[in-house]
Amino acid sequence: MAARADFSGSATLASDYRLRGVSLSNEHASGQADLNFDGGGGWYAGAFFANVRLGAPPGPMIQWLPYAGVSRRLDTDTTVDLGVEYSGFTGGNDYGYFEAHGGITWKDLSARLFLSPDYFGSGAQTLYGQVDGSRPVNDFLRLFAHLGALQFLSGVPGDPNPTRHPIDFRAGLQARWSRVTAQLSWVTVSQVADAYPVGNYDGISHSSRSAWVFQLSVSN
Amino acid sequence: MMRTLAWVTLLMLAVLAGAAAQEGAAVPAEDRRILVMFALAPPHYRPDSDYAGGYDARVAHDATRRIAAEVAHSYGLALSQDWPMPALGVDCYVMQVPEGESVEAKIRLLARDKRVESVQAMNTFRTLGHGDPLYSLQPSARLWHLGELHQVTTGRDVLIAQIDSGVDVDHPDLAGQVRHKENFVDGQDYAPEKHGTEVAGILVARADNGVGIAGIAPGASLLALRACWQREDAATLCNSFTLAKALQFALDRRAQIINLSLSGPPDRLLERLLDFAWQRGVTVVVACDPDVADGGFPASNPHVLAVGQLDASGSTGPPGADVWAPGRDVPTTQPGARWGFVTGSSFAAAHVSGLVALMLQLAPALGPADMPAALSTDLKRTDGATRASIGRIDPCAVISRLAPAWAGCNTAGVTAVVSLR
Repeated sequence: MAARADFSGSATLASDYRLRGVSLSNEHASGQADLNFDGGGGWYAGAFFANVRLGAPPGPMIQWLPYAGVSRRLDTDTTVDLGVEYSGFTGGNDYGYFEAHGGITWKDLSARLFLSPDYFGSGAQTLYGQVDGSRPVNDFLRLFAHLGALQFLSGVPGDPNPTRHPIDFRAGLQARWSRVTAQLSWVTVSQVADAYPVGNYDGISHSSRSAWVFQLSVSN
Repeated sequence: MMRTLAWVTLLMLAVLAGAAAQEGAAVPAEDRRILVMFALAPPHYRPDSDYAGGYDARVAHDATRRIAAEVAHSYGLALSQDWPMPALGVDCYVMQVPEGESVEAKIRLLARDKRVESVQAMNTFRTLGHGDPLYSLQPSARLWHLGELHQVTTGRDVLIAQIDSGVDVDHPDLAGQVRHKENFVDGQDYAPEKHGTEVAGILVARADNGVGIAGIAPGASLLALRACWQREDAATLCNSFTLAKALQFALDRRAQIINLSLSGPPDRLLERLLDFAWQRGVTVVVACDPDVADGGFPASNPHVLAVGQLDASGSTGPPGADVWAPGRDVPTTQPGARWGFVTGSSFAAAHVSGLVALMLQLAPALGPADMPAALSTDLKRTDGATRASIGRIDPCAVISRLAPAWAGCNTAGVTAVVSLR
């Protein structure tokens, strides 16, 4: 079998950049780009960039996220995947954090765990778990849903209560024509945790708990 | 001298080049397609899709489409269809090699390209089965490799006399197969009946007509001689008189094979007619009665081919039989344009009559005295004893001996193969 190495990339415009139910763009539109490289043998590496508006008051900055990992096909329908990523932010702040992930994909379902020693630079150790599923409606339409839960393994300094488990949910419809994908989804989160630098410091939350999100992507 | 030599060389080169170009151009368009496989990267974490939630279907396909287009462009090929094969972890693309270029050379070049997982020529397959929907259910398809036998013989120019109850001559799968029908039952007219139609289907049902089954000898003709009648309780009966009349008729019409899928008490009249048939070189095939030690009459007659039904394992049959043939769960024609499954030695006998018809197309001079030798292929009996006797028939070997130029059946457990057209 010949070694296979391939670049793939995409550019996205989203009405709101929601990560795990929380808006990182102060509910503004956000542009995103992802560049991915798949090596032979299942390893992969890439970099992701996005417009974010963090802090209090929220200021525009760029999130830059390099990642790498290895995926292995166990059988026709099942793949496992392990990797690490670093989420960095421009603008001279200390929001950057490492995260390791492990997951399994089976047909159109996937489950993944993320472990971070210092989530968004808050000092809290977190474990995030998610399950995702999608289902084709026809040749170009697809329904998808996502459910996640964030577990604080240690408290945020100044707020050591680790009992809150923010749960986020997202469901939507994706339409794909050739290289263009359009997506409409509804996102909700039970609680905007203090760990996120989304303006809770000034007493104003810059992320609502629920929102409709629309995004358009182009891939190569 | 040198100039002449130069001109001759040039001329020869021109001829050779022309011949080469001709050869390249002679390959039909279908052969110029090749299959190029690209590895499908297994799905993995991606920040954007991850945040959007849900499995990103684009990963499976779009990633390969771009490389496939690049590769096609690099080698001057036309991209055609594609189909993902997640079972192999590849995406398969059909590409066309332009006229005048060597398909083999392209394949060799592509095989060395690191972007390509694998590459091969597009192969063509022939049907070995029949275009009859129920063909794959026929035991003869699997056990006798019927479709392959039909490549070399179909029983053409052979006349089979079927002495039985009435045959539905209007059945779509039997249209044109019955040369003549005649009724010998006193006080009745010819009528289509169950047993007769079922046996007739196995014998001569039309092959490749898009309906039903394929008979063992679809090229043969049938004399449908109604010497038996079906009662209300569906039992089919015959008597010495009706049978004798039918036998006489079959002999008059010079049928080469007579099929008697019936059994009863020893009968002197019929015995004499059967002996006469033997002398005339007519092969009489009779069904064995499994409940009677010697198979019953006329199976016990030494001048007939007594056929027993193979058991469920397909390896043995009743002890009173000369030969064993499939007779279990056989799909066949039934009256009223229907088909159904039948089991019984009647139907095993029909298989053998059909096989004899296949043999007679290739060797018309074969007579009943030649049958034991012609049908035996030194098969071991299940009790371990090897004798040059019949027992379970191997039609592929039987036909191979009569058609030495034929390649034979593709055995080694091949079942009915479907064409990829």
